[in-house]
Parts: sequence; C-alpha cells; structure tokens
Amino acid sequence: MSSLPKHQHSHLPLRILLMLAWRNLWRHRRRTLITLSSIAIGFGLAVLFIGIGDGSHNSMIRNAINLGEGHLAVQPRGYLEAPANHKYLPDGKALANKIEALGIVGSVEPRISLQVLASTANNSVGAALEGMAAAGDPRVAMLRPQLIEGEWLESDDVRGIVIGDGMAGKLKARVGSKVVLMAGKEGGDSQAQLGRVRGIFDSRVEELDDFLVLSSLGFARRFLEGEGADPAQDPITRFSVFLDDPDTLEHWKTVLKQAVANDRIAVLDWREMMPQLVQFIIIDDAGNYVFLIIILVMVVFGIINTVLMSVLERTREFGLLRALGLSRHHLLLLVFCESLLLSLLAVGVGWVVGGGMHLWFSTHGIDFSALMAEGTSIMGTFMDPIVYTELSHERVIQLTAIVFIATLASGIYPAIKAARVTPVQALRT
Amino acid sequence: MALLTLNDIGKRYRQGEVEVQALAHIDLKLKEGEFAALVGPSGSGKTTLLNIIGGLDAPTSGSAHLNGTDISQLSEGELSDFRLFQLGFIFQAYNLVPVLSALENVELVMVLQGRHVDERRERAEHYLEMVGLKAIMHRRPAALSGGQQQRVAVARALAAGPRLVLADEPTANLDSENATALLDIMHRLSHEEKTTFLFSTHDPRVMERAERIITLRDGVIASDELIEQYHALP
Amino acid sequence: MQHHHNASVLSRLPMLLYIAWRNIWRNPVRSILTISALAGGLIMVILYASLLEGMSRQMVKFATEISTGHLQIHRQAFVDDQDLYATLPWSYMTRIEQDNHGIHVAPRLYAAGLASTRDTSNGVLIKAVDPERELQVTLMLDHVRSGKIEFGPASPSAEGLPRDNVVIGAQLAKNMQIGQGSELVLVTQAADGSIGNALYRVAAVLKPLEPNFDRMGVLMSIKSFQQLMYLEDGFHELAIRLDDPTALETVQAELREELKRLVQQQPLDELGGAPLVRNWRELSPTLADMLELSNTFLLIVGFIVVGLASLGMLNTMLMAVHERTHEFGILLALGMKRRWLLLMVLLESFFLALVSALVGSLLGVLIAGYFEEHGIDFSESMPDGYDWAGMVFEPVMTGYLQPYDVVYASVLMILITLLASLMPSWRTVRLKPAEVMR
Repeated sequence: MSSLPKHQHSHLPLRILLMLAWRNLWRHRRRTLITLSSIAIGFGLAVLFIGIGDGSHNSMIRNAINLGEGHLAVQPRGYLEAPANHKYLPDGKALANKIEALGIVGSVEPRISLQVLASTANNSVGAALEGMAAAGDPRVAMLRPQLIEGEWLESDDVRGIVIGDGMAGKLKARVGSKVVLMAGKEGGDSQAQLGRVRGIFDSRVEELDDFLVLSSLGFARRFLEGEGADPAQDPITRFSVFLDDPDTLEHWKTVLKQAVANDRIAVLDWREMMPQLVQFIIIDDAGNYVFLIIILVMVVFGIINTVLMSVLERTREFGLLRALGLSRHHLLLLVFCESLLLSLLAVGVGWVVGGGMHLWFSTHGIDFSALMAEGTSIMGTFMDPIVYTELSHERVIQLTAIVFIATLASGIYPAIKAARVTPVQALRT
Repeated sequence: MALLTLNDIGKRYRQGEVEVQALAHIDLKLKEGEFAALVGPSGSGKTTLLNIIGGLDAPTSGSAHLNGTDISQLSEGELSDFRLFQLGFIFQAYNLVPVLSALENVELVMVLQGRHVDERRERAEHYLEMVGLKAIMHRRPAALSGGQQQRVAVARALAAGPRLVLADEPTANLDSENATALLDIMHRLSHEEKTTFLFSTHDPRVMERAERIITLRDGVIASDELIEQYHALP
Repeated sequence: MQHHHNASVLSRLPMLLYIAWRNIWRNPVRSILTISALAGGLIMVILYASLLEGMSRQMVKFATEISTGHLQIHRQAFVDDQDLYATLPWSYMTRIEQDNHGIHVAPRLYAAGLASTRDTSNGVLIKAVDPERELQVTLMLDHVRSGKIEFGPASPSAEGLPRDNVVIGAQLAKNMQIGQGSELVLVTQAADGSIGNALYRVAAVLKPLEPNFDRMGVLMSIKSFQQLMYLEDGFHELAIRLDDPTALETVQAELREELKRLVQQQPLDELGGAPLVRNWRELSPTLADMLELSNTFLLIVGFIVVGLASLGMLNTMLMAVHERTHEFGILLALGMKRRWLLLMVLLESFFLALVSALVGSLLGVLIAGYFEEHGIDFSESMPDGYDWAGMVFEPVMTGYLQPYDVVYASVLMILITLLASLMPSWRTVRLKPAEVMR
C-alpha cells in the first residue's frame, strides 16, 4: 500500500478505441455526410477523369499499334535513329523461320518501308512507301474499311498501290492513275518504279492520308533489289509483331531479343518506335495529374476542416478524458482513428461513386465527337470518338493509396492538437 | 495514518500583468473514509486545491502525498495512471462522454484500468443500481437529466475503486432536491465502500451533510472543523 | 404598407450587416479554416487559368509569330491539293503591299522533293522564302539551332559544281544525320515536267517549328527555288503580319475586297481557283479547337473546385446555425423576423465568401504574377521544348493572367457558396421558438 504499483498502466483496447472513434464520427451526422459526399464527389470525378484519360490514351495506343509497326518490331539496328532505304534485313526468309519457331501468340507481319518521292504529271510529294502482305495485316484490317474508291490490293499485285485521299488530291491521281515512285539509293543515285493506283482510302488521319503509299511486298521489294538485295532471300525492312495479349509484351520482347537480336538486328517495342506518342501521353497524363492534385487538395481541405472543427469543439471532453486517466497518446490515437475511419469511409464511398461512374462509362462510353469537330486524329493516330473509361488494377491501387494517404495525413494535425489539451485548461471553461 | 497529506502547498499564477496568490501555506491531512467538504466563496482557491490534489495542476511550492506517493514527483504519464487507479473525479457538469451510454461511461474507466469484461460489467451494473439508475443505464447522457448525469458520474468514480474521490461543486447545476439526493448517495457510498470523499461546495444544504468542513478564504485555510453530530443516514 | 416594410428592412440592414460580421469572428478558427479552403480553391483556379492562358498564348504566338503570321493568302487549289501551279502573280503582292498600311507581307513557294545524301534519302518539303520580307513577318529565320542563316550561292562542291545554301528542319537533320556544311542533292519534278536536280549546302538547322516542317522541311531562297522548279510567275502563299493584331477581322475583310478588285483587273487562270484570305484560326483549326477545349476545361475545373470548396462552406454554416439554435430562438422570441434571421445567415456566408474571394484573388494574383515573371523552366530536361499534338511549346512555361479570369472566378465562387449556404439558412426559417428554448 505504500507506493503506486509499477504494473498499473492504462489500457485502451482497439475495439473500444474504434467504437469511440466511430461514434464520435457520427455525432454530427450531417457534417460527416457532407464531408463524405464532398470526398466521394471529388474522388468519383478523379476516377472518371483518369479513366477517360487512360481510355483515350489506350485507344490511341491500340490504333497507333495497329496502324503502325505493331507491339514489337524486328528491324535493322540504326534504322530508328536514321531511317534509310538501304537499311534492310537481307535474309528475311531465314529470319521469318526463326521467329515462326518461337510460337508467338499473335501475328508476325513482314513489312518494307521506304522513303520515296511520289510524282504524277501534276505534282510530286514526299511519301512513305509501305510494302506489306495484302491480307491478315492489322494495318490492312484498319485501312481497308476506309477505302473510298477502287479496290484493295491483291497479294500478287506487283504494280498496284493504294494511297490516301490527301495524297491523291495533291497528285491529282485517281484509281488507275500512274504514279512514279522515286527513291534515293545508297551512294546518292536514285531509282524509280511505276505504280498504278488501285484504291484510295480516307482514314481521317492526316499523317496517313497525306504520306502513306501502300503496296504489295513484291512491288516494294524491287527497290531493295535496286539496293543490291537478293530477292530469293525475301529481303524486308522489318517484321511487325502483333500480340494477341498486349500484357505479354515484355515476355515476347525478351524471347525475341534472345532469338534474333544482334549487332545488325534490333528488337524494339512500340514505346521505342513511337517516342513522340509516349511523350504526348506523358504530357497529357501530367495535365490529368494536375487535375487530380487540385481535387485532392480540396478533399484534404475538407477533411482537415471537419476533423479540426470537431476537435476544437470537444476541448472540454478531451480534458475530461485526460482527467479520467486517458493518456496523451490515447487521445492522439483516438482522434487519429476518427480520421482513419473517415478516410476509410471516404475511400469506400469514393469507390462506390467513382466505380459506379466507371462501370457506366466503361460499357456505355462517352461520345467526344461533338467536342472535336476537326476529328480525333492526333499524333499520327486517332482516338476512337467514343471513349470507354479504363481502370487498371495499378490505377485502382494508386488512386486508393493517394486518397487514403492524403486523408490520413490530414488527420495528423488535428490529432496533435487534441493531444495537447491539458485537463485544467479544458475544465476551467 | 493519513491517506492524503498536504504540506505547505502554495500556488501562484500570472493573470496578465498581475501575480495572483491562489493558495498559500495549505497544510491538510485527510484520513481514510473521511467525507469532507471544502467550502468557501468562489475564488477562494477550492478548485485550484482540488486540481493540485488530483494531479491536474502542479503547486508552485509544497508537496502533496496520497497514499505515500508524492504527486508532485510524478511524470506526465505516471500522473495519468495515478488518476486512473487512485482517484475518482466528479465535475460540476459535462461529466460524461456524450457518445457513450451511462453503462459504458461507468465501464470506461475500468476498461482503461484493464479490468476483465465480466468484472467491469458486474461492477458497473452494481454501482448504477446503487445510484438508482440501473433501469435506464443504456441511455446516453443527452437522454438523462442533470441529476441523473451526476449520479452516473458518482457511480463511475466509485466503480473504478479509487482511494479518494474528488468532486468539484458536484451539485452546482442541480436543484436542491437533486442536490441533497446526490449528497445522500455519495455519503452512503462513502460509508459502505470506505471511500474517502473530498468535495467542494458553497451550498449550505450540502455542507450540512459533511462530516468535516474545511473552509478556505483567500487561498488559506480559515477553519477546519469536524462535525460530531452528523445526522443519521436515511 | 409595402413602403413601410421596405424601409424597415433597409434601415435594419446596417444592423444585420454588423451582427453578421461579428458572428463570423465568434469562432475565428472555424471561419479561418473555411476562408482558407475557399481562398485556396480560388488560388488554384486562378493559377490554373493563368497557366492555361499562358499555354494558349504560347500556342498562338508560335502559330502566328513563328511561321504562320496573322493572315495568309492562297489560291483555292493550293489550299485543297497544294497544286504547284496555283500561284498568285507577283504584281498582287506589290499591290497589296502598296495599298495597305500597318501590314507586312512575306511570299512563299512550296514543292515536294527527294533529298539525298551519300547514305540516305528522304522525301522533303521545299519551302522558299524571301529572307528580308520573312524577317518582317515571322521569327522563323531567328529560330536557329545551329549554323548561320545564309541563302544564295555557297562555295562550290568538291567536284567544282555550283551549289546554293539551304536551311533544314531539326528532325530531318537528325534522320538524315546531316548538319551545317553537309551536302544535299534535291531531286524534284519541276513545273515544266522535267526532273529538277541540284546540289545544295546546308547552312543551318532550325529549331522545331511544327512537326511537318521539322521532319521534312528544306528552306531556300525564292531565287534558288525558281532555278530548281522553273516556277517564276508567282508565289503560293503570302504570309501577313499586322502591326495591330486586334484589327485582324477588319484587315481580313479589306484584303478580301482588294483581292476581288485585283482579280477583276488582272484575271487569274481557271485551274488555280480564287484567292482566299484566311486568319490563323482558320489556318490551324486544331489550334482553334484546342483553345476552345481549354476554355471548356477551365470552366469544368473551376466549377468542381469551387463546388468542393462550397461544400466546406455548407458544413461551416450548418454548424454555425446548429450551435446557435438557442440564440436564434431568443432572437425570434424577442421579435426578430424570420426573414431577417435568414438574411443574417446569408450575409454571414456572403462575408465569408467575400473575404475568401479577396484573400484568394490577392494571393492568386501574386503567385500568378510570380509565374508570369519567372515561369516554370523545363529546359533542363527538354531543351527544345516539346511538341504536343502537333504544337511546339517553349521549354519555359509562363503563366498569363487575364484580370477578368480573376473576376469571373471570384464571382463564380461567391455565387456558388451563397447557393450552398441556402440550405443552412433555410433551417432558421423552420425554427419554432418554443421548441428551441426548451
């Protein structure tokens, strides 16, 4: 009975702590509901905006991959840095066999890319000649429905070309017109081939309509022969690999690299092939993040406001609790738990609202065609005019973590404030 | 042996420019089981003295020992635990945590003490019965009258099994009927539980029920008398 | 009676204003929290507006000052198909220059060609300019990355062949791996149908202007162009800069009239079509779209931010009304009219919003002013700036604050927060004194 036993410490079981925090949260039901709804609205909008951003970017990327060089490209080393007609893969046949043996789930398309000058009697324009297989190639699948005049190429057509309506206008070419394609040769000479327009497409992507000339592999290969290639070995510029499952990109990139990459041959993914598109998306994303930050700041303001107000108006009660034997860190914990519960609720409600919006717009889509009267063509690709919001697992985790941490962090100051209350001060009033 | 010993307690504090001597040379001993009233006009230092005894405030000079422990030597955390295990508090008003029911309020201190759930439930119900509130123990403070709230506070203070219950004007906000009823309950429990009570008041009817009356005036003890003929308990 | 009623409200207004103002400061911490949330929201809207406007101005500046000019004149066939033969006679240019004051003109000619070096070849877009005139109209020729702008004859080649100087686009230089001093063969189909073929020396490489030019552009003097293309009777494009850009519509209309007169006096051939005068908005519809879109976006962001902030206001006023229920009961019992009570609560919200608007605009303007002065510098990571959707941006992002943006944002905020405080103030109307006083 002489002194205070050392083992006498205060306990505050988590269950009681949470119960107290939970009940305190609902002391001002209306205030908590308003705070929650402001967070939910903010969060919902953030989910929607990020979803639209991701959806439109992914649609642009998908279209760019299909219109361009696929998920992966096998092409001469140095071609990307400085494209030239004399850079090609001389032994296409052997390489094709090697790649086929890998069993890639998707399609592998041989392509010949050349820089040419396309001329008619009326005009001449710089052009990109793309020799490709007539059927099965995803680019053909994208452009074939956009044909506005004439027919698509037959696979054995070694004279025919298909051009965009922009180029057709400049050249004053129609179906059946002859177009001279002139290409520079290594050493500074030039060579020319005569093509005949079989069809004209209108993809509404300026970069394609004005510059692209499509032909069979056979036609384009003549230029490579002019560079000295052996036609018997099926020389080509690149193999474009289109994967059925884009998520397997890294796997197949490694596999392809091990199989074919050497000091002459490079394996590149679409990010490396289209750095401008990647840059565009990064900058566009940066804009979305600015928006996200603005919303978060508002949300944090709301939470600090609510929790701090509730702390300030409960000074007396905190004093009482302290007098009863609750320690400072119990009080700190209690207020922090209130913020924690509020943020959990906020994230929950936020996901109900944001997830609901996402579910609706991911199936119904948002039609942006009215907003973009000039068409949705951008950066050499295009955005599908109806955007379906997309939300990856990473985004879900990222957004949840950001909002959760932000809301939790905003509870720190009020908690410290509450723990500073001294019983005498509080009880005096 | 005395339960509480105050040795030459003094308390000064600054109020703006002025230095106020709230308490001076307070020497006081309280025996176990005493039911003592601290009386005096407002501003005489009653609350300050109770706060010092309760470890809520530190004296500028002197020492206070409760049950052999020098309160002024305890750290912030030790004081918390000291209050929790040794003391019971009853304040003028706003005694209860508004989000907890009467029963939960009584249990709260025992939860902090780490008592087993069955024990604390049993004790809480027992003391609520003693103060006559068992029937409405699930109500929250907002649904209780002022007198009922103070009785819950009494039950809470006692349920924790303290050595000393400090009550600062517990009847200040009550009408006379409720005030005397509360005092009777406190008095009865003090005897039954052998718990020492020290309460401040300036209500003559409340004073009547005290067994010892310590009068403070301008921060010093003006008189300290034992009331021998305390009237019989109801 | 009506008159009396109005007078009473008016005479009590100063009192209500006074009480409302005092009430705000009864709970200073709460008021300051609310004000800081609202002001913070306003600051963000102002900064956002300033950055968007800064970017818009940069886009417009790039579009007009760097290469396009304010107005351009072409013939229809050139616009449609870049028809090589759709030229306007030189006399048109002289007349336009003589007849209009406060404008500067620069003629341009275009052709496609194939540029070859020893190692590679590339389809190119040949653009011919009159260097002196061009400098009066655009900053294109000041936009040099490496080398020195020189046109006309250069030193002969190693084989003793004559050659002229050209200036090329940034991406073309990179793709063909050439730079100042490199030699280039241009092959093209000349206006008479023959194959033009000539040797050039690269005098300079330009900084990024616009993606098409960067990738394919070869700049030469009009004289060199005429020698290569045998196209001497006119120009394809006339770029015009106005001393006073605000007079754009007027000048455009005047030029249209003048061209009509010129066509009557000096008829053009049938094939090339009529001359067209277009301003920069018509010339770059994507840009015009983008500016429109950024305004829409600003409005959306403004509404969201202010909306979220006003929910904070709603909270504050609900608490304020809730904790003063008793007081309102007393006021009602004393004979205060309900509508005055309502007005008082609305006035409190108004004061909160007003103080927030003042604080927010002041800080917003200060911070925006800083960004206008200093900008956000990305030149470390992006020395050439960046191109976004075909528009080139400078590496230093500067804000530009338009005063009416601040006013709009403030007014929007005050209106929305007042709207939000309607709900709490309505609660005062439903108070029953007897119940409240219990």
